[in-house]
Amino acid sequence: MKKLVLSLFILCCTVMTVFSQGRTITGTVTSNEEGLPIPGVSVKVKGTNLGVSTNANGKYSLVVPATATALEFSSLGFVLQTIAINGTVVNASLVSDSKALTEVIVTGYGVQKKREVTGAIAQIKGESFQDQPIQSFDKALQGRAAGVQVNSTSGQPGGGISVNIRGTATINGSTQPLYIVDGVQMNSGGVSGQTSVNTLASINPNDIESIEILKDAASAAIYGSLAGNGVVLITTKKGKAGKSVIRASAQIGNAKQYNPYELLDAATWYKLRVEAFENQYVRAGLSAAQGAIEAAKATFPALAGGVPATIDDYNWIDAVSQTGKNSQYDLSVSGGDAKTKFFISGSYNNNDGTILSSNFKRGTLRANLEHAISDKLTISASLSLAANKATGPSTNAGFFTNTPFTGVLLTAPVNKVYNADGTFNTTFVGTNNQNSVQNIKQEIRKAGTFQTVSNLSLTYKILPGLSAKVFGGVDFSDVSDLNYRPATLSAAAGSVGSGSESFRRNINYTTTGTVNYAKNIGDHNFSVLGGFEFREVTGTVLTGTAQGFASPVISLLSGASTPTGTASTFTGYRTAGILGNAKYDYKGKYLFSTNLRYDGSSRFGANQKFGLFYGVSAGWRVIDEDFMKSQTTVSDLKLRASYGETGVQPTDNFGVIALYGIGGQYGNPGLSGGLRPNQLPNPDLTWEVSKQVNFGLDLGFLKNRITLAFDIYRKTNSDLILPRTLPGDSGFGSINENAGKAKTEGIDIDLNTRNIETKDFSWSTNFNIAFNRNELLQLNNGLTNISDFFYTVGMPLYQIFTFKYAGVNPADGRPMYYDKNSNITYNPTNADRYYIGDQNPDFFGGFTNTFKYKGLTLDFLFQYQYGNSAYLQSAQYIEQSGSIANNQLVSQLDRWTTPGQLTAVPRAFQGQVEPGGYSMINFSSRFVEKASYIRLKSANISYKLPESITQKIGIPNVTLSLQGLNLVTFTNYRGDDPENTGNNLNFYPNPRIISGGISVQF
Amino acid sequence: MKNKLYIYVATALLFAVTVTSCEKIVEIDPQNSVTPAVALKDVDGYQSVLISVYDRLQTYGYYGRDMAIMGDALADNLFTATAISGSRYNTQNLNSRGAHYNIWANAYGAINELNIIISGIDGLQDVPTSKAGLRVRVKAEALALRGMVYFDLARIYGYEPTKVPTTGTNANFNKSAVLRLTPTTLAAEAASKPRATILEVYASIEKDLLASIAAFQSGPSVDAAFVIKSSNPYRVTESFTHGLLGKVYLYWGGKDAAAVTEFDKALNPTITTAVLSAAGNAAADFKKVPHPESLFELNYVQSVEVVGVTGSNDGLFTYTQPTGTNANNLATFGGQTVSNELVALLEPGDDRRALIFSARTSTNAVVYNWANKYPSSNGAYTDNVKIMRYADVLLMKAEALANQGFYPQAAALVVQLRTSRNATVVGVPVTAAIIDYIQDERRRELFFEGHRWFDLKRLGKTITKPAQATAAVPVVYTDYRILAPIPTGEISLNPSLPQNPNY
Repeated sequence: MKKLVLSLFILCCTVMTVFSQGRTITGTVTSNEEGLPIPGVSVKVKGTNLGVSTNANGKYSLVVPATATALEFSSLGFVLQTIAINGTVVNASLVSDSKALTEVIVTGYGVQKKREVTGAIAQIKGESFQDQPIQSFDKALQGRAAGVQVNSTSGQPGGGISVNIRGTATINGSTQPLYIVDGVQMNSGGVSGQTSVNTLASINPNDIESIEILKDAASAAIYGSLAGNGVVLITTKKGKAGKSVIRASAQIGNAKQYNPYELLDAATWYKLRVEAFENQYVRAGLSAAQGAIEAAKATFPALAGGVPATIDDYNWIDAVSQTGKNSQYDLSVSGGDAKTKFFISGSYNNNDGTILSSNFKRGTLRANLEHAISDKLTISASLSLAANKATGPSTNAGFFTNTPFTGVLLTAPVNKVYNADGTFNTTFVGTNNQNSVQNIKQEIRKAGTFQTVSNLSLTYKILPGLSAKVFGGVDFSDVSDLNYRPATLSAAAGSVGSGSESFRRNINYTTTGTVNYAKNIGDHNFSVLGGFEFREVTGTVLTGTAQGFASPVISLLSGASTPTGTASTFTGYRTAGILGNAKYDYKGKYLFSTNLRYDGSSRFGANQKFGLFYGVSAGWRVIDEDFMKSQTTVSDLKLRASYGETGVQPTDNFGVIALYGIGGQYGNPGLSGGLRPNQLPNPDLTWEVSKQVNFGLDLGFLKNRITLAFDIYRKTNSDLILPRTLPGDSGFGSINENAGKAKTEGIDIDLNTRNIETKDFSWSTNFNIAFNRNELLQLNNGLTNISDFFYTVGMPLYQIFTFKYAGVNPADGRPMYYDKNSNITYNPTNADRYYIGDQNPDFFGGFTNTFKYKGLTLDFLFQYQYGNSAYLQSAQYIEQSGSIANNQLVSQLDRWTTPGQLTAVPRAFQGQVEPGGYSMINFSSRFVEKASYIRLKSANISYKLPESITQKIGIPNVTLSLQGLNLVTFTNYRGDDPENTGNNLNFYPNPRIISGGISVQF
Repeated sequence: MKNKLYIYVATALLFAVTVTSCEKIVEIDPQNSVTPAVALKDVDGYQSVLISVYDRLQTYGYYGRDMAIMGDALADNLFTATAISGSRYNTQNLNSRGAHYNIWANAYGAINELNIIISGIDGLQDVPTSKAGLRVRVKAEALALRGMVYFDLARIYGYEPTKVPTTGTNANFNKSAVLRLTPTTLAAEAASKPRATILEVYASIEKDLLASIAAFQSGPSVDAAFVIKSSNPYRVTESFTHGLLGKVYLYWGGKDAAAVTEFDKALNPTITTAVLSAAGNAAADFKKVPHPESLFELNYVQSVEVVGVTGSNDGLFTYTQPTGTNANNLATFGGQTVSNELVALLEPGDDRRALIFSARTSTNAVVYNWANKYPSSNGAYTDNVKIMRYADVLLMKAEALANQGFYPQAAALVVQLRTSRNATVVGVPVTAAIIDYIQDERRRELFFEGHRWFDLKRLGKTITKPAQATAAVPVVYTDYRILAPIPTGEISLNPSLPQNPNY
């Protein structure tokens, strides 16, 4: 080592001696955009190998021979610049390289120049969602990458989300991608049992440099058995050598439910109720007047058949809604020198939801550090800590009257919220006999989370081109859940208050060792990567429940008189694998890449503990061929092809081993616990195999002002995990096996254009669209459908199979259905069901426009989806023509009233079922419709103050911004949010958020 | 160069270590469940599996409710008042198609666990001497329970050996339970099996019960502290096993002498604490825990096993007590009332008449007769289930004697019982008429304890129905509904089981 330094020193001296006749040129290299010095720029005498690098202040000093005429300045991310030597000072102002093709993208365990990519990888830059009022980065994926379908599953701030990459082709396997934050594999999903808390919300979106999505199997194969649903790589920001950059930003705004259901006012509602009773009584051969009296008795029990002179109206949706305040504060400092680089940030968020008592608070800290200990050894650490507190309603879908979304729809509008003295009204008529406002205000549901996603790595450059890296990362979270229902709530009155507390600890760590070797021999470029990775995920939950609270203000379990239960659970899994990647290209024109992973998991059966996953891909940069040189229209042309095999792991952590679990209890005196076998060993159960072939085309026109990425793929998942029924007399019900088969295929198109580019004004557009279709190819045991036709062989997954609504008989207002022969029936049987539609969209995507005029930037993103059939569970309750004491939609005023009337809404009929008929609220195609939509997902105006002002105030960079989320939605869907369909009865709709902010940078 | 070599060696070693320890590195042990090796490592582990079987017996679809009262609903002791029953037993009381016992899944869950015990417990190594007695007891109980569960399967899903109908749609149908006597520990062992014949199943039951008795009797020789005469009836004992074997012989037909021998052993006071209730106590004893007459009684702990809504939705109390007007003023789904015919069988002054009371409910003004055999004696909505009582054994013994023509001896036992119930003994016949009299006496003594359906069926009689159930029609013995349907899922999986005829 010393020797080497010495010889370099001698070499330098020699060089200096030899060229002592030459001149010394000095200068500073700055960036054209920001005017800041750029360290590490290579400065070379043109035509020679003589050169130096700029120092931390962007300065250099170079002795050049007398013959030198020009200097070349080059640095990654900047356009190469050649400047003639004229005098002894040569300053350079480098222009950042806007050509996307030289951008670097992150792949598994490495980076790659975008021009060399042979798979299908989408990239989203952190700046595209900087300062947006989103709490987790997965929301930023919406509409920004072709083939990535994102749906918010809850409008709770910090709540959950569902991401599907290139559709799904599994039944019981996971459908969510693998998330990797700076090399740490994460588990997606919720972390709380009380309200929706997204585990990915621990990463501050403003800390993110870029998100890469590995869509094709060949790219994802390096993650083996976890990569079957694609991989999302998140890279956080790193410091850059040079002057320290401080950035601070603040946003405040508010959130509103923009599209609540339009419900009836009390008087109109009561009119429908009377009609429903009258119709029922007349049908039963009694008088309408008798029916009206019954309606009065049912609605105003205190008046014994009378009706109040004025019917007071109470709007329950308004009563539980609020305009939520949002605020978000960020501070980051980044910088460094040639040896040490850092990025340090902190943030605080406080977001109210659109429902009372719904809130999410978060503080985050991050330090990303990198230090070169020597020329060969680099250490880097990425440390993050996030604390959040969430309060909010339960987000379990379904018929839960104690949640606001179900509760208020089912509350009749004649019910008071408060009594005259300000106490909560607790006497109700109708379906919901609980006071939803009281429930929300008095029940405590909260979750507190501490989470860190951190890593440490050491990289050692063994030889030129050969380096080794050891990496350790952890995703650790502690979550405490608290639920408390005071005795004042009817649900907890019997138990005199009930409470539960849970502590959850999730430890997920990854250790990786990799060796990387790159070598260029002439025009042949090789690189090889090999490594080993181990990951363990464990989760423990400790829960206590109690009842009999002495005082409603003591909500911790210690305030209760009777403990009612304790539970502790443990779960976990391990994976380990050897991984490898090899790349070769010839002149950068013919590109080959292969990924391998030999991967094992504790979730696999003993006979199939390890599997080989692989991907191969190739690319041809046609544009670099000589025959393309003669034309100028096409500026980029690359063909790509890839094939890979990845896996989808079983979701059950202990599904493959024989297990004895709790077998009840019995005994007297003294209960003994029982043990019973609850699972047979399943040594053959293993991963679902996902094979995917991808063909891609990258095209650029007019100096890449128009670029297009086109990909077509087919993914076939086989060995789907399905239960096989066992004879009941064996003592077991079923055993899982790898048997089914499904495929999904589609086209992803990503089009970027720079429509106008002038000195002051520019307009650029991104348009992406994805077409996808799937089909179930095979089930086990010779079955042709499971889950009551939801999965039917030969058809797309997620079928809606039910009765076909034929509208209302104009003669008498009864609901009609089609029987299996397409004749009208009033009482369809199971044999009369049809395939009504499937829940997969035909296509979906996003459309972004960015306008810039001097310091003013306007960008807006539309997100759209087309062709998915959706069913409206909530409509089954609020579209009953007033036949029940639930509140009803305004649309129900169109109910049938007079013979000959043509309408789709049946007549009101107390109890919903006409004698000899079928209940109008039972599931039928009446409650199914297409949920296509276009949504202005986000719009953002920002204004960067001109230098004339910023110079006066001494801050070089000030930006004011105004942003909106979910601003406009175009849809025919009747539910309150087309992003969440199906079991939407208790769905927390996505809010409309408008916020304004300021950011400064210096 | 030297450095390079180190690196190559180190890398090679890393990979080598990785590959060799692969299997271990991706294993993780569950903590909420255990592997079979851990569960079954000692006698206590096997005892825990036995506890699981008792827990299965407790389910409402098995002994927890259906075996306790559905036999009365399917026959004539019980009238289901549909207006107040909350849809419980409405169809059973009318013998609607498919409205029947459904113990298949639970019974075979229990049988698999019993097979695990019976086939595995003898193989335990290094059992400490202090556990030797427990090992014998666990195995003896397991054998008796396996006999009992197979007996239930045999009498629910098949005919008795000597009572297979010879005419009608079910003529000569001799299929009984699926006989599995070894545990299912691998998926391959779960392969479908056809049903065994009636005689094969009965032979297996007899063999299990005899083996159980032999095991109990060997207890004292293994462990001097081994208790034969248990102080409570909550677990299976030698006494109960004798009683059950006698019952099996009685159902079998033509084995009456053997049955009498077993009944005598069952009631031998040196091995059982069960005694006949004294005169005047019949009603009060149903509020005692345990019932003094119990040879085997299933115990429930209210705070653990009947919490939440399970008791108020499914328990015996909620089925058989009028809502709001019962002694505890609890809300129930009560609708299972005592039929007028049964009430008429009980003379005034008979202690057992005091177990029936008349009441309206708080929601319905009609007055019905209610049985007070499940009065929440063991906590709210909680009553123990009497699987075998002294009086039952006494009457079965009388029946076995009468079948052999020992009418006076049979009559003497009936008189013994009736005396202890303060009932008149004047009209008890000492002729062949005692045979029918015993069946009436069984109704008087054992109503709402689940016996009536099986008593009619095993004797090949028509199932009579209460007159109050106007839509009900008597079920003749050749009717297909005498047998319960095997769950349709089992048939679609293995059509060659086969299903019982006409289902």
